[in-house]
Amino acid sequence: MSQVIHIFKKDIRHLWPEVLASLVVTAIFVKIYPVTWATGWHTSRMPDVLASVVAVLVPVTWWVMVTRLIHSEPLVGESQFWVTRPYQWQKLLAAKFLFLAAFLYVPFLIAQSLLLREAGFHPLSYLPGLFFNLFLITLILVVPIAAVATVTSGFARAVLWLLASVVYIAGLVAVAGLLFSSGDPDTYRGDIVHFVLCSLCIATIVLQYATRNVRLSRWLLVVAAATVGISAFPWPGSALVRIEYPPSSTSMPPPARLEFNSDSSPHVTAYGSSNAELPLQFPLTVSGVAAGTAVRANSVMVTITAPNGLHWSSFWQFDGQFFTSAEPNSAVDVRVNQAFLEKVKDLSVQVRITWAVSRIRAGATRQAITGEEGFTTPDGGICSQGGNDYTSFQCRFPMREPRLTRFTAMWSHQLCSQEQPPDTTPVSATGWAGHLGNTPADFGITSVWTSSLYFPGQGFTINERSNRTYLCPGTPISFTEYTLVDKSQIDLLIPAVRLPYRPNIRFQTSPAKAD
Amino acid sequence: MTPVIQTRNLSRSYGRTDALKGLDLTIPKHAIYALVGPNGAGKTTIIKLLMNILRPTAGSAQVLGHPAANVAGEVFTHIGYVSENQELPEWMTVGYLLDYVRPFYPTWDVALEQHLLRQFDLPLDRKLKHLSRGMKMKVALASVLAYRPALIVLDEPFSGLDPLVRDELIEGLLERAPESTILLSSHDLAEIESFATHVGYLDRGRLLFSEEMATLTDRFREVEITLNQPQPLPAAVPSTWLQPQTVGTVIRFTHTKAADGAAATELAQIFPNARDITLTPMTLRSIFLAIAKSSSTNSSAQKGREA
Repeated sequence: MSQVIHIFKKDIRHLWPEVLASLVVTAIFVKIYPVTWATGWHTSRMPDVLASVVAVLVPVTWWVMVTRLIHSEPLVGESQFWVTRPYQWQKLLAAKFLFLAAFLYVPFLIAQSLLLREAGFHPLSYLPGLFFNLFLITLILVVPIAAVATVTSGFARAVLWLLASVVYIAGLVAVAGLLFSSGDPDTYRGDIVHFVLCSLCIATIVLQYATRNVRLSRWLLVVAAATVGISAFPWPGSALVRIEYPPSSTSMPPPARLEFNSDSSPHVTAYGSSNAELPLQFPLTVSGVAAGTAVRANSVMVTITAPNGLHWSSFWQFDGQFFTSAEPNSAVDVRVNQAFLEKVKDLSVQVRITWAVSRIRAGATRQAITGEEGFTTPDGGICSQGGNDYTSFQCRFPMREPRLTRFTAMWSHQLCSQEQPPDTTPVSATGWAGHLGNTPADFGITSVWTSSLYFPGQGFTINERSNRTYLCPGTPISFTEYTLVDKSQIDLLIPAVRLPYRPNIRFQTSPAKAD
Repeated sequence: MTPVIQTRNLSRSYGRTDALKGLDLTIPKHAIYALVGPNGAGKTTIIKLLMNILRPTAGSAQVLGHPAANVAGEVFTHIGYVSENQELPEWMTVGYLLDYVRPFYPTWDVALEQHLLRQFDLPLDRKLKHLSRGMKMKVALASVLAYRPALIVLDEPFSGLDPLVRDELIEGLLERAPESTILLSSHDLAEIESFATHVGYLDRGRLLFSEEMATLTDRFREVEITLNQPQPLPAAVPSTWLQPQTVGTVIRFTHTKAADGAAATELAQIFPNARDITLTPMTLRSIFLAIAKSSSTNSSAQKGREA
């Protein structure tokens, strides 16, 4: 233990400028980040821009600190002073961890607690979330940074590795984005990749400290990079999707019945074009959703077969819409290869649409009443007006985005003023927020998450004052939290339909039936 | 007596280049062993293999009874290593470096540390990065000698130092010699000759010989034979004659086995018309030059034959 403390003290003496820089940036972050809560992210207001810059600087200072810390006893090279001194590698590693605990984890924990308190939450109520986020920060940021530092001999080399990593990832994103849709619904692949990535990074760190086998360690990181590369592209046969989302069968009926809407002016609309793909919209009718449940479409895939044998299949595309029994009319948007559409433009083709869906069950419905200043959601989120005319609301949540929640409220066409008579024909509106994850925290530099309480079609719409609706103080909003029941696939077969091949045209189609 | 260092068929390759080929080396306790040889001979490679800085491609080594692969952690409380290329923590002051390393060594002798500081005239408050090369070597040596290691390993410690600093370092080293075994590599043959007890000559990764200094200087002689009339060299020149040359009636070569008086008798038999046979003791430098030249000539001849 004494060796651990001894090395720790030496590192403090050596790296105090890096520590100081990190603490100062963290303190500035705590001070200025709350300005973003009122207005939301990605605005052009100067304080928001500054806050976003500082939010990026926090992990940058960590990167510098971690890299310099490990390079205090470089693990690469043959001429390091410490290598022929009585260091025990386990103690050296422990000393480095102690340093990070003291100057990264503890300050970060304090910063997160201060942000929670500033946002109106009691930090002690969120200790599991605080520590879980620390765990995520370690796995996602600290471990990869440390792994790279262990296989580089100096700061300049580490910078080169970082730049190479950035270029590599940007290249992957660009290539994958050009060639494939990025809507694979399976979570298994991400879990596998994260597990492999973290394991390889941890193995690299331990291996380097134990043996300083640089070549093997670098190979481990190359394998880690290759794993990331593989994860960016569709995996053959989407085997993991079939495991996570078993296709519907007679023994396992689909959680919703989706049909091509042939009753109300059946059509397919191409509503714009993007590169080589044409987005198509298929109107749907929804039925068969069990009471107390809803269906979230995570991803959608479309397969088109022409009578002349031509065939085209999309990759999984992100969807994100909800099917409920209360909303029987819906639509699905898919992107289809435009060259293929040109080839089948005069043909009636068969279209199969497959959704990867999550069946979700409603929990208890609880109400909150909007006030002049805002309101508190049943699960503790604090919401306030985005502007000052009761058309939008910005909510902040502790440690994570809210659990998947459906919210409903009556919106008024009248301005929220005591002089105005109450609206006799308010409109009911519904929205969704949050996600199905069960973890106590989402990965983030901040401990306070913001989310707009977005009611589609309500509030401020396309700058037409006459179309505005308002959520006036005193209006009840009902919140229903949903939990995951199971996952499956839903198929829809449209036997014959002519598809548009240019933007902004509509086609009448023959009636169709679903599976 | 168990040797302090022992290697068996120790080899190390870098790609296709063999830096060290099948080294068998034994260094007894309390020896001052000088490892010498031309640049690129493999001296530093041996030392790094022994210090577990590099891993061997083949063979094994024992250091203070530990396999070289296990030379780490606590074993280094008994080993002091100083290298000309060592990267010291330059942000530290001399005083802080000593303060920092002291707790690592249970045998650290504070009185000896003070003595070394005075002897080497080291400025405690100066950062290492502001010190000259010679001063850095003195700091490194002081930080090693102060814990009285059983084995001191020095890789080219005197390289590029001025004579005054060299003398100071050697003096400091010799004071500790009775209680330690010292292995050092060096080009500085003149200095080594004055204090090394054993010497090993390394050439292109091979240890050409390894023996006590006294034996070495005893057996090497510069031979000059003056003949009454010119006479060719024997058809089969003994392998113990290095670089034989004939200039008129004078034959010169280096005899590598002239330790006893038999050499003169042997030469008299080979050259019966010799007017004069002189066997002159050689300095270490001249011995190594002879070996190096001979080795180079043999290598060229070998390449010629292969071609």
